[in-house]
Amino acid sequence: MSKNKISKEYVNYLETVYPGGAGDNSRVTSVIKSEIHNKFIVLDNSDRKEMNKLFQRKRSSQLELQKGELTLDPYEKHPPLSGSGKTISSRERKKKHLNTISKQNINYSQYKALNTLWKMYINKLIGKSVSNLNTLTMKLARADLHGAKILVCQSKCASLIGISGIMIKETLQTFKVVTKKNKLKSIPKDSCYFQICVHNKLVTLFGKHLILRPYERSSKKFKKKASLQIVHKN
Amino acid sequence: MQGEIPPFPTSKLSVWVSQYQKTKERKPKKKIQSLINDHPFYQSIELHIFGNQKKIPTTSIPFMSDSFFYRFKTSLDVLTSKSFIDKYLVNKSFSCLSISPIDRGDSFVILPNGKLILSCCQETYQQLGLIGKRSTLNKKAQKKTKKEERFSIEIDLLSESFKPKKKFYERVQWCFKKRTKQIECIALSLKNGKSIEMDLPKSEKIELQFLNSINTKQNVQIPKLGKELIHSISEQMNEESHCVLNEFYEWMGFLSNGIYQTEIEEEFFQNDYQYLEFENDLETESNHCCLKWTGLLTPMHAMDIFEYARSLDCFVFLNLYGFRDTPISWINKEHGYFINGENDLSFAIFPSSNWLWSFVSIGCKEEFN
Repeated sequence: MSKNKISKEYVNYLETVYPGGAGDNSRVTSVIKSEIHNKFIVLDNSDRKEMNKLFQRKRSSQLELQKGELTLDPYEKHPPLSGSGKTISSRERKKKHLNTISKQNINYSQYKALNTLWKMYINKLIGKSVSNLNTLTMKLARADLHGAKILVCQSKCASLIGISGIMIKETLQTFKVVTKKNKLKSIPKDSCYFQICVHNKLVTLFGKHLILRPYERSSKKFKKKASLQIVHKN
Repeated sequence: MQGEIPPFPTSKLSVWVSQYQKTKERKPKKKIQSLINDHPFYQSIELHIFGNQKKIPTTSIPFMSDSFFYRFKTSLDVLTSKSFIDKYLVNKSFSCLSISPIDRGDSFVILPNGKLILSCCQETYQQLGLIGKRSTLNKKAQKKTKKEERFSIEIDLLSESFKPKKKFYERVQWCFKKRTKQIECIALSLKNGKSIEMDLPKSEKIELQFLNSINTKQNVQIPKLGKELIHSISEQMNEESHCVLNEFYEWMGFLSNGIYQTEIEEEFFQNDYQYLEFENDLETESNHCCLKWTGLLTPMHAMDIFEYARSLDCFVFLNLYGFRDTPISWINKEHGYFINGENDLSFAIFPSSNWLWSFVSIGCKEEFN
């Protein structure tokens, strides 16, 4: 897909994020090639029935194309979706790489705004319960950590110690973090202790206690557990 | 069968019987030299001299009276910085040892060949950020009891890759600066065999002299070992000679602890303890002088004292004691409290004899021989 077919507004936005013009060798063209060109981007979780209707319309236009009545953009060729659920299944998400974050063109400064949003969120969440340790721990255990600056303070893998950055994605077993050197690091939760700064206080999170998906963690009732030891296996 | 107690492991005594080299200088053989040189440093050296000759010092220590070392508190990034390495470690005559318990805390050693060896507990290792090896001491016990493991990290400070602006150097400096606290340690730097002053953090620097002492005693009973007897024991090495060597080593232990036969009085309390008795015609009386050096002593100091002992040409035995809390002992092997815990070495030097006896006591869980 050529750059002309992408909206001018989006190109202007990219130029503000990646200054340096929109020439052939610029950052803007490389972002467009890696992130947008030949990629299926879903902006929201759309209803399956509506998607099927859309593809039926496209199918009918495809048939008209075969007859020679219409010219169709090859970028719009998509088979109709299967299954009867309302949302896209995780298998299909994985096939279409909807949830993967590419390691190229990552900029730490892009996520600073996310970090400020997270700070506002955590201040609202904790509120006046800083002095009460029990409520503070329950709230932090269930809090959403996307956008938080985390530091790996203890780990059985020596190379993971010291990694710090803004957390941009949480999965069942890992935290994905963008470091100041514009690198995307995937840190396993099981073997690490993490530190975050909340209200000028350092809080240590035991990764082994957080092995849950973010939406599961937000509704879970945590029992009181003693601190764990990270054990080195033979 | 059930109920039978398995045999308890016993400690051993390793004895090397060797002759001097057939050169003009009559140096000890390489095995003996390696026994002294393979140990990075000693805490104290005792020299027991028996005889009635004029060579025996009575009032003052013959040498190393001006030697000194430093005791100070610092973080490891100071000792591993490029400026410090270029100043003191390049000459390969710098030794440093931390003052901390070996089995409970973290300890480190900087050897004269420029290697930094850290022995740390599990928590420190998981917070430090440097890659190391698991400790080889007591693996079986750690598996059964799930005790905390220990790790050892080795860094060659004199390697070509350990330079500023290189990844490994920057990583090491960051880890020691941000992830560790200050540790108390002792250090010594030599130039032409003498201690030199060092630029260290002034606030915690203490200059310590070597503790040297001299004790004399008259009419001490010693075993009468003539030339022929020494020769027959050294050559045959049968069960009889093993008994004699055992008894001789025990007698050395008595004197090292200041126990003399004439001082034991049985009248005051009931005691089954008996002083060592030699066979007939093996007792004689002599003057005894004990010279002791205590501090941070290197193999070079030990060899100087050994050569001085030989030059006296009288019956001498020499005790070399290592540090109790050091992460490594002989041949850079790991040193723990129970395993490789004995850190000592003794020599018996006879007048006008070509034989030299060296003793190493080995505990029941020692790994080296």
